[in-house]
Amino acid sequence: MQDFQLSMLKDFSDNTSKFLKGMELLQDIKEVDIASTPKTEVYHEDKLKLYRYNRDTKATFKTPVLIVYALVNTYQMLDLQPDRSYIKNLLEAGLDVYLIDWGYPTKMDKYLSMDDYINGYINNCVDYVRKENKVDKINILSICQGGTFSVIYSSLFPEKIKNLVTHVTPIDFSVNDGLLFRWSKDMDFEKLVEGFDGLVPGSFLNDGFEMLKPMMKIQKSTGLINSMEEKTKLLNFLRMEKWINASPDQAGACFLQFMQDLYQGNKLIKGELEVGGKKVNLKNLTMPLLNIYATYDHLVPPTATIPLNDYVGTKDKTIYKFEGGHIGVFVGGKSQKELSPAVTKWLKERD
Amino acid sequence: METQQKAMNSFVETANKFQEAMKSENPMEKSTEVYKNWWENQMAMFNNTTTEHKTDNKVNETFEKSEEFFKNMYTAQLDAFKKAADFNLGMYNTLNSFGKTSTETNQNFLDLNSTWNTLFESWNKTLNSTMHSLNTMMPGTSHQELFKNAMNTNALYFKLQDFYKPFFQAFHTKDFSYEGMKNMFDPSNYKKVTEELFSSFFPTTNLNTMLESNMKMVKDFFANNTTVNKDFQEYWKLFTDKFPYLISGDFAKFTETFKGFNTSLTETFSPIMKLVAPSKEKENVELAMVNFDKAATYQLKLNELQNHLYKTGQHVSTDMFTYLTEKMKETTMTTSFQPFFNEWVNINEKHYTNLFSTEEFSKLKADLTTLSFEIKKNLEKQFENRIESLPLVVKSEMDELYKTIHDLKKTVKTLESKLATETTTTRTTTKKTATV
Repeated sequence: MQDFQLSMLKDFSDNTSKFLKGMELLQDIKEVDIASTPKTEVYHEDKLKLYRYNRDTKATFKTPVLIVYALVNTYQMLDLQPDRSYIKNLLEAGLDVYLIDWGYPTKMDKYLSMDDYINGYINNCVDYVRKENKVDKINILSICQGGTFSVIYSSLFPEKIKNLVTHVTPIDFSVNDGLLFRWSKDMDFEKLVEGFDGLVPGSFLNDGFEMLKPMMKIQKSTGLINSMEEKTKLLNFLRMEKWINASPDQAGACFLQFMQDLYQGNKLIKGELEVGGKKVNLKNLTMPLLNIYATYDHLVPPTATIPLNDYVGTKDKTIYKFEGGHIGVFVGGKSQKELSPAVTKWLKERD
Repeated sequence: METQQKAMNSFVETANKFQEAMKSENPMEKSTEVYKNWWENQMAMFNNTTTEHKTDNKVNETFEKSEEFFKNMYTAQLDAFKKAADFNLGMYNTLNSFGKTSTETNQNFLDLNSTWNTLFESWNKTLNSTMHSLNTMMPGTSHQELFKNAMNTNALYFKLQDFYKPFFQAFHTKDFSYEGMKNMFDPSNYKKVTEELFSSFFPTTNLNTMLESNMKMVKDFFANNTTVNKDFQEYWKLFTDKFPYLISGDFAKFTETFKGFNTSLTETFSPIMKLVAPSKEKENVELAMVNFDKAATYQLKLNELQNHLYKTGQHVSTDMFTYLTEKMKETTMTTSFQPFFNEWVNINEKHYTNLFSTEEFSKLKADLTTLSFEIKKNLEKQFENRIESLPLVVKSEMDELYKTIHDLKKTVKTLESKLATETTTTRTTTKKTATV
């Protein structure tokens, strides 16, 4: 028999074995657990929930930190699995951690705007944490679009924020690096939002993100075949899939303004952005800033993140380069040893 | 469950034995023996399962599900193994080429490949149907989607093998050249690979079929109200007679024809629409006519986009030829398909990322998205018009309600906040006054 034929047969047989083993393992996996670090709901408003993470010991930082995640996907990626949890690392470093869970919008929420999210929800959560801890100012730790919102918030309410940390946050939308920024220039978002009856499905956004790397689905599936024989690998794969597929829908009014005013109009950098009738001036961002970007970020390229430091009013600003991707910056192996120590060290120096 | 596990283990073990049999001196006899043992084993397990559970009323439901599962699995596996036995026979004939002409040997080789791929298709179906049945017993729905994707990748992997088999054959018979490879390239066959890769851009439903009811409504409207139905049908026939331009890919010609037709249609019907009194029915007809226009434009742009995808697929193939040529020169051509597949994935990533980042693609994609939503909203509006007289709440009415609720909530929150601030200020003022 020719070697090639044998090789094909071997591939066939190997893949079959892996699939069957995977089927066996799947039957053993009753639940795919993510975001398992214990927390308590301390405040809620509409669909929003504010959590405080449980601490076994007293916090060693004076200033509590509020995590503001993006509206796209959910915060659970920060606490994906016990051995890869950014939140757990922050707790172990001694921080008192609060987190906003935006919830899952429905058609009822289609008119929620950026004003509602920033001047409404974020502001109310900040006020709650300030009041509970009897402090005038708190720290904000923000991710991606949550970072954009936090930058806007901190420019409007600098008196309430002690330190601001942004991770992989898009600020300058004039760049064409990355397909997301390219495609957004031509899309008619008004028609899109109207077409979805004011609630943009999370699945639609996920499909778009998948297309940013055309062969990602194939590469992921090939990776899955190779993970099927080992329960830990398979479970970790399933955790990531669970997080990806749990994407909330987007409130149309907020989504529309974000895409039109920022992705297409780049109004934040230009100083033309208005939220709730208030003009946003980045020069009013006068608290210390730590701006973290990921070198291989295909969703938010570094050229969109780095410029923030050129526009803010604060003199105490740091730019931190992390060698990794948009998600890898939080869940990668390297991240566990590098990211939280860097962030907590920076915060401690300014506590 | 235990029997299921035994069945799976047995299958894996048997697949390995089969592989060994095919490498042995008597592949035909050995593989037949393997197949026979496997079949007897499976039937024994199946019979045990049915005997065990038949008398247990409590597990009847589980038993029925299990029975169906096993029946599906065994029937499909039996089919797969029958084909495996044929494949084995084919290989035996190929190996045993003494006294045969080279034509017969080559034919055996080609038959072998064909049987091999049929075998895989059959096995793939087995896994798919097994997955489907198994998922009804497994918790969580995301697993099925996950395995479906994995299956599709596996299917793509083997479709690619199928596509490239003539090239690998050329390697092994040393009948290879760059030009020869290019001549072997079958665009229609590679087209299927592209469609598999980007299935979301190749919808199976035809937009025109979806709009058939619209067309019928328009036709009925004119038949009931005017005598110009005959003229409408003549214009529609003119449109469909000109349709072949779309299939030929001559988009410019189609656009020109369509514009001409559309202008004629509008000019013909505008005086008639003025005569008809305003009504929901009239509004729907107007909406339907707008939708035909949009549907045709959508189809045009979709074909343009698909054309880009096909062409890029050809660029990928050209790069693959270069890669294979280099490998041949270096005499490092691997016998395994896996490294080849990996390289194919990388080259696809490069070319399709380049395509996706062009302005042309971006605009096409944006236009298609916009058109699809416009068509959707148009149909929704027509639907709302139709059910207007029924006691049903429609989307547009709910939208008004949502807006009102949102505005009211915002007002209440603003007032609550002001009240809280004033109360705090009053308390502070009272405290200060008291202190004084």
